[in-house]
Amino acid sequence: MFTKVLDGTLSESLQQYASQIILISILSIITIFRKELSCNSVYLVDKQKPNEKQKIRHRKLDSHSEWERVDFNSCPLIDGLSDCVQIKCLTYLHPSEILTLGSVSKKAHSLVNKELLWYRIFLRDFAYVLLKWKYGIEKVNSLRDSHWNCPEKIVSLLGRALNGIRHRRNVPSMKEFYLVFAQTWSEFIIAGYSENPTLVSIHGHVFNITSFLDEHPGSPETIIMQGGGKDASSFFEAVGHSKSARMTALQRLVEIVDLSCCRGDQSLLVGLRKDYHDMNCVLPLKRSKVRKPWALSHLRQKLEREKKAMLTQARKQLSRKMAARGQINVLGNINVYFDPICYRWKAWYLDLDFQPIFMDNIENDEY
Amino acid sequence: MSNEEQLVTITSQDGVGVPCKKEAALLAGVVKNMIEEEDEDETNITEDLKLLKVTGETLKKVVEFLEHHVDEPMETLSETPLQMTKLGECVGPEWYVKFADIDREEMFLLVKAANYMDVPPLLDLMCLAITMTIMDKSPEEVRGIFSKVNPSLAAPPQAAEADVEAAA
Repeated sequence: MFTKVLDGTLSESLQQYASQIILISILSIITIFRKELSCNSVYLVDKQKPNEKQKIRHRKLDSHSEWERVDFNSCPLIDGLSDCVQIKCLTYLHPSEILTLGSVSKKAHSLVNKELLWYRIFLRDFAYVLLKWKYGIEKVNSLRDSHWNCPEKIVSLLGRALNGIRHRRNVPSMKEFYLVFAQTWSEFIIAGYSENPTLVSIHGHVFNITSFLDEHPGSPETIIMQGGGKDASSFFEAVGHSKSARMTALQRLVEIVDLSCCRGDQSLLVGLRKDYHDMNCVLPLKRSKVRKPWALSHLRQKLEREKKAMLTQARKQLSRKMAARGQINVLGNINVYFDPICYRWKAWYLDLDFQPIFMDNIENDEY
Repeated sequence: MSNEEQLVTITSQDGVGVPCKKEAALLAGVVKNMIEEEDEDETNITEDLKLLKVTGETLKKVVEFLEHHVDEPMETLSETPLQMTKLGECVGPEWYVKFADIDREEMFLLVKAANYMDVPPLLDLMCLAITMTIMDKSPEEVRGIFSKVNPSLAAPPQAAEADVEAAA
């Protein structure tokens, strides 16, 4: 009787807790065999390790044979067509696409490094400022006396200039010249143009504010000292220009537009021009980060690093000069810029009459 | 000289003669030179226009292009680098877009022919078309595209395997 009751309660309670019991037993099984069940690599038993290694090696071999199947020495685009046709095809592309293509195969790589290709692309994108833009021409002419004899025609002058580079110590390839020029053209050309004309570079573009100086709310002297003849982007943004001020700049003062600094840049733009069909995207219309021209990041970093070093060096040289020659009047700061044609760093500062004084040799001999 | 409907026959490498309006044929630099030489001789026989580097099939396409170009000149946008990814956006009229819609091997043959025969508009069109195929692609993709064109790229491993089997 008692046992029956016990049986009854037991079976009842069993029925009652059956689900819990099953759950607990499943959980405990999982806990005990967790190592075997898990695929986490922490639990990998030693036995399995060699297998894994083999697998990895196997996979590597597989991919290796895949690589072998690709013939890096040939690329039909490169093989089938003559050089000038291939270069013609590539001159339709953005430099970043050309560089990408260079990693397709060995032949593509040597094609992409051809001097002629980069010369064509340079003419396409940047030659405008050296051949057609008044201040660019002036700048190149000012280099003439000190560095190379040039004929009157500016085109052949450019050719000479580029050849001139080749005779120097640091010989850049045309490709390197293109990439460096893209970075340094604005400060190179406007260097020294701080008063009459006053050229400033903001967000990569060049503005001519000579006629605007008197209308400008801030004093002309401040602008000439802070922005004239150099990159004034951070100063421009720090002061906080209004939307209407920016619009005025866009409508009246633009001198050269760098297309790679125009927003709406899902599409790849590059090159320098007098204007752009959508002027509103040339400048950001509210306070924002400084825009920089398209460049390879390692090159940009290198130039920025060098610029800092050269700035301290130029300051040192100036103070040495002062020590030797007595008082030299310097207005504002000394500025450094990279001259892509002579391929070295240079510096300039303003004297008390707002006249620029250039220092051509700031690099020391070991550089 | 009423050479508007005058026909000349251009002969290809493999002996296929393709008749072509003289006006159209003059667009091709090579043919123009040949015709002018003949005119100087005043023989006026325009049958000896043989091109040594162009096959019949390609020549037919080139002549088709030349004859159409006379009626409806091609316009290309000169803005570079290209912003468009479709040929239709930078070449007009529509006929030329259709003309360039051919497989890549044919494209290469046409480029070579255009280069040899000195037909600048055709060269422009074909270069644009080829450029479109490599735009906006990763190196792997480009490699893939071009290894399909050239069967010799995929062939060697198979050939090597066959050799191994034969040796065994």
